Amino acid sequence: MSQPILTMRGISKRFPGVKALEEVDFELYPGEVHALMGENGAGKSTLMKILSGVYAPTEGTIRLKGRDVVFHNPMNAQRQGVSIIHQEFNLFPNLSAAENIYIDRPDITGRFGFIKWPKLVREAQALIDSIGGGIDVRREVQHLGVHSQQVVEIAKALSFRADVLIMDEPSATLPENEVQNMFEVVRRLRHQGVAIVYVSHRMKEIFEIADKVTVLRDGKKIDTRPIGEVTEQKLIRMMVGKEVGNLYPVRITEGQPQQVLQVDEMSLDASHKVSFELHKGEILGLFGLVGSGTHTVAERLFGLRKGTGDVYILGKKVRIGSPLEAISHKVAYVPPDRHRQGLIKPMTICQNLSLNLLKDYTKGMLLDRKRVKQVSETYMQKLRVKAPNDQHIVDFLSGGNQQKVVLGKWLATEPNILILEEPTRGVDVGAKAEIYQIIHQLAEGGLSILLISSEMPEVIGMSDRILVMHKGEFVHEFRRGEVDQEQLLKRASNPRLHEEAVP
Amino acid sequence: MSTSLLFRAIQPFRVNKMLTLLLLFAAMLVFFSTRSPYFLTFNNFMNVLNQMVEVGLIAIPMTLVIISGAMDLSVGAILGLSAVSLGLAYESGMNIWLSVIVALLVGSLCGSVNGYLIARHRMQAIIVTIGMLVMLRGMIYVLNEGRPISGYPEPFYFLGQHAIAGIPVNAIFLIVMFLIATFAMRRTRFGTYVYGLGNNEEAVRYSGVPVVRIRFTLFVLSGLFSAMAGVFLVSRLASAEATSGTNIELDVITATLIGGTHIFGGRGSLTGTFMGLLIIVFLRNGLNLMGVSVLYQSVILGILILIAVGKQKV
Amino acid sequence: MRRALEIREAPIVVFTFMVGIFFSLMSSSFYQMDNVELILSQITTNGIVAIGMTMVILLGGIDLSVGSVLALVATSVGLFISQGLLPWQAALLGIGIGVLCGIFNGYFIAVMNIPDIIVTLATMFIFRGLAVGISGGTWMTNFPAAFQFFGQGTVLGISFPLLMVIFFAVLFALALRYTPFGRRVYAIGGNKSAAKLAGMSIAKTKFMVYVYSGILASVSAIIFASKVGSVQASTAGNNLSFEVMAAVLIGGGSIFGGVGTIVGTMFGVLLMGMIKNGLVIAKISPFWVDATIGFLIILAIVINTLQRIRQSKKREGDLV
Repeated sequence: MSQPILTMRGISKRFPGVKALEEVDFELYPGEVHALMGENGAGKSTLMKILSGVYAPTEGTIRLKGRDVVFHNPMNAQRQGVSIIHQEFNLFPNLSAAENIYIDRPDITGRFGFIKWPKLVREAQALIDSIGGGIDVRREVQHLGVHSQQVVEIAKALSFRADVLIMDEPSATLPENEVQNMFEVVRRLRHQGVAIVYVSHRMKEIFEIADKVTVLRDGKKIDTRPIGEVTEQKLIRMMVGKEVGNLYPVRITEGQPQQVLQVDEMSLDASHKVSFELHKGEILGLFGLVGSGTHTVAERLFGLRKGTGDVYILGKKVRIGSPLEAISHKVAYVPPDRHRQGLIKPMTICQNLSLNLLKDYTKGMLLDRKRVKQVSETYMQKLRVKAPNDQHIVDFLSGGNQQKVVLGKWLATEPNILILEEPTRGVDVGAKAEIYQIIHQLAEGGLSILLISSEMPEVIGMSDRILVMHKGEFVHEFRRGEVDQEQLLKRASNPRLHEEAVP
Repeated sequence: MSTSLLFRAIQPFRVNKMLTLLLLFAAMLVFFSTRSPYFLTFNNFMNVLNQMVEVGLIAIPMTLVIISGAMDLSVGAILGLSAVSLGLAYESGMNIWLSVIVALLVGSLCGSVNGYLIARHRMQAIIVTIGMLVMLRGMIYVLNEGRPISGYPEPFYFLGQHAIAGIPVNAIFLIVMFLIATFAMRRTRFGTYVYGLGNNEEAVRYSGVPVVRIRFTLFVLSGLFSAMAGVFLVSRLASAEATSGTNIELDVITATLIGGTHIFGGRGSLTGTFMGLLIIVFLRNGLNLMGVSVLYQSVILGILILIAVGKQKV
Repeated sequence: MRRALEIREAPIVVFTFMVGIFFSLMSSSFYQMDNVELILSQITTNGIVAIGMTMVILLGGIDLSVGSVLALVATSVGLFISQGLLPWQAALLGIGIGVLCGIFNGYFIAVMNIPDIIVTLATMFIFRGLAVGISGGTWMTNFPAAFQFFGQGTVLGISFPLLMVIFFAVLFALALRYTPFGRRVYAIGGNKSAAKLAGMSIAKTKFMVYVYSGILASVSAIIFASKVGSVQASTAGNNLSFEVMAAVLIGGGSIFGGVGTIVGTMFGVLLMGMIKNGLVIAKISPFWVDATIGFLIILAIVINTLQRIRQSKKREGDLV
């Protein structure tokens, strides 16, 4: 094979208190599709951010086209030939596709600094046609479909004469039938000699499109192999590694027969409906890849999104049209993003812990300050929030303690059903174990828990039952002990798996 | 450990801010007293107190509205419309106190239109209230065609022109309102919600708090207090005019921002606003005594706004 | 597509014609040639200022100070002339003052990062106060006959102010469409973070837009002073920023930025001018004019918000 176009040597990246990447080597050849795989937190996104100029590596060197390079920012990386296409597109919805591709570039202006529209349109159209886009580049981007918008993103990257193109979960936002079109574009690029880094969880896609695969785990590179030398089984094993067993407490009961929540044909969007039930004291895990709809399930149950279908709590049909109604039916929801949805960070622990129930702590017109104090101190203690007192500002707490405050503010509502979404995101291992212990105790105490998480070990370690979701549907149900990460990932990434294929 | 240190470092800073305002205020008093012998007299002080009531009353809800992360530019127009409504109602033969109630209702109604559009339909507060400002000013002229309405019964002047133990009645009312509002912000859940809205509206919504209702209430309060200000203004000047309350929003917003309320919401206090209020009314009074024209004064207020906001970090 | 662009202005064009027909039915003098000329001459000051406001709103901003800039420039031009400067010298100096006002706004908004609403609210009072200060609070009336050309002269039979409106409208329409600066204005208004990623300097573009807004307001001020012949610093251009903002929003501009065209704005200005004139001609109280403008602002934002809701609904079908 020819010379590598890109070589990364000994790349390390440290954040305060965390080693995100350790001594990673990575090589990329022209005209190859190189899949980058790893679990959440394995270091994929850090590596991509270094490659696209968002972060500077703490240690290590990058060679591009035979020269040592440093990327100062994403624009700089792009000019040197490395472009990235994010899951979230960075397009101007109010401008034409042609302009989105060539915006603010000297090569389309004429002598007096005027934009040459005919040239702009012609070149953009040629570029789009060269990758088989089939878009009229004069149309405004807001009127284009998702696939076409992605094509515009790709064309924009190529317009910088990209030698290296990074695609971050390119299929996540696409409807199923568009994925093949996207592959068509990727194949053309490969044929033109572009090196593509393809980041995805989806096994089926990796085997269909990639030439090579590199697996990361815990910030280290595990291996790089040609795709022909690996099987799905092998890949998953490389990604997962050894189990971290003792993080998860051992369950004593595993839920009681009494049914607490029953969901009947609840709509997620126009074409997808789900049904399931949750028992007293049960931890029900919900797992799916990006775009599978697990988050929507939580939003619907908590009244944040409207739709059709019936919800029964303790056998009674209920209407949940707003968070307020959800709370009154004793449903609590720990949202995935504690910074945006969970906490008011510039305010005190006490104010955050009592926020949900201030109405109940009001006597006449005034707040019953004694009760507020009592509740906030109780839950601070119960959850072992580490802070001098409850007048401490939440912003100054560590991630783990912040998460405990979110948990506490919802437990203070004394719910019957607790929805947890990504309960340990951005939390260190010690706090993780503590939070698992708390969840465990709650379930043992009879609380019904719906655990939504993208971390497989967490779902497997904590859940009594696991529902696997794929594109808005439940595709499989596992019981505790029936499943390991390999099988879970297989089911989540490839729903049309035949029963006999599972060993 | 380091976090609690940081926290301790911030507490005195807050005290400092109050202290800065107090020092600024004191320095101003000293300066003006050297300029005009009349400045530092009891009569002048009571005069200032008497004149600050309209701005002060509106500054109360304005502080809350800005803390919640919004803005109300229609307060001056609401004041004007309420004042004229009061005059028209009285002219039409209504009892004066009933006319006052009409004025308050008109103000609350305007506020609720603002609130409905901004809270319920999530429209931009600035544009909606600018639209209201222009529309209401127009309606004032439509209603009374620009002529002043005067000639109210004697008891009505009690509100704006009388004094108890030498202190103007309206100033006493203002201070009582400030105390009630401060108390309410500290001791009711409403206060917590207002700060919460300004800091992180989404988290407040996720906590099952009726966000729409709170925002709506804020704008209704803003309308109600503007109407109250209108009533006191008519009583003080003995006349309801179409131009009543023009440009009052500059004084109100300046007082609020000088008082440390953050332009992006989430931070601020009524105590700060009260200090800001004292600073700008005594500033205006001192400049008046020195013979500086009213419109020149607005240059100084404008610059004060820029300084106050320029120091705030995002 | 180009056709889609045209369609965007269609509602305002249709609406303008409907209002025209309405007033023509109300009063036959509405569509007389001299009334049409009157309307056209009445909208020139607003028209020129509205061009700057269109760019400000395209960036998702707002400029409340244009009326005060107009007052300041008009009074200073009056002052320069009474100091013995020639009309064209006074006019050039006046535009220089407009530039300074724009730089002042632009500095605090783009460089100091203070919200535009606060900055322009403050400068609205600062500039007005300065205007009153330098005029001594009296009317400026001593404009010489030669100065009247700016507001009342004609070139090739067309009134000079109208020519200026057309000139600046075409100039900035072309600039918005054919220069990188213009496309940056749209891009930043459409998606700020993408603009940043594409390496655009948001501060620089913003700064320039406020400078242009200052220049256009000062041009408008000269025409205004020449046309009315007497300027009072405390009232000149009092409601200008609101009226002009209304014209831009009615003309299809979005307060969220990124949407709007000069052509649309010009129709917005024309519509407002027709309504103002029509209310008087149809013998409805002139006091209704302000009320109507305020109502139109609110109507424009209601339409804006409805469009936004419709767009986000389109996207809501997706999971995640």
